[in-house]
Amino acid sequence: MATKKLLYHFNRPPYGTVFQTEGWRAGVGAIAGIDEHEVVILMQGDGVYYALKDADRKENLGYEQTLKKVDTKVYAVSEDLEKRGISLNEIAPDITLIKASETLRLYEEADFNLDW
Amino acid sequence: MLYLVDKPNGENAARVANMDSEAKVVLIKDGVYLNPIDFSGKLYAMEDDLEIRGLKERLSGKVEPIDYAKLVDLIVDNKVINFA
Repeated sequence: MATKKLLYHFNRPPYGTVFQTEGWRAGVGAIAGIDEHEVVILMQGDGVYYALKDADRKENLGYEQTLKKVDTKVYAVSEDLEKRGISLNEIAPDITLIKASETLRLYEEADFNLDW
Repeated sequence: MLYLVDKPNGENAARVANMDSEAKVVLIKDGVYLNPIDFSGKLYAMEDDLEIRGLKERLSGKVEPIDYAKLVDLIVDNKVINFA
């Protein structure tokens, strides 16, 4: 199997369940295999709460650092942040904002997508 | 693309699916409680999930009930986006 482009979409609130952590972990699995797949991360809905710069990221730190080494993009939907009262200066600097209208393109570009 | 949608992710799913002119949406599990009005594309719902919740007779004409064999056909024939 050749290298594939994978979209991991984080749709759930980041804490209280293991979904988002499992997503980060599986992201590392995808980039680290023989095929070295490319992973793109999209936070939307309640998933965007992870973008808060004060959010505790200790649990996923190792995974995130590994993904950063291969320049994995991490997007959060700006409308969803706004809807939740999160302003620009509250967002962690390593998160890229994306408009809701641009998310369909991410799904179209990806060979596979996984929901976390 | 084919969207498999459960209730907790309904809003996120509808937003993406409604931008996709080729969208086919399958409501699964509690997804059958979602309002069909919120989806603009072709809409299916799992027959078993409707039946167990007593919704089969209350179904909007917009929604086509399907069984697992049809779901498999849809999954095989389309690129799948999972929101379930």
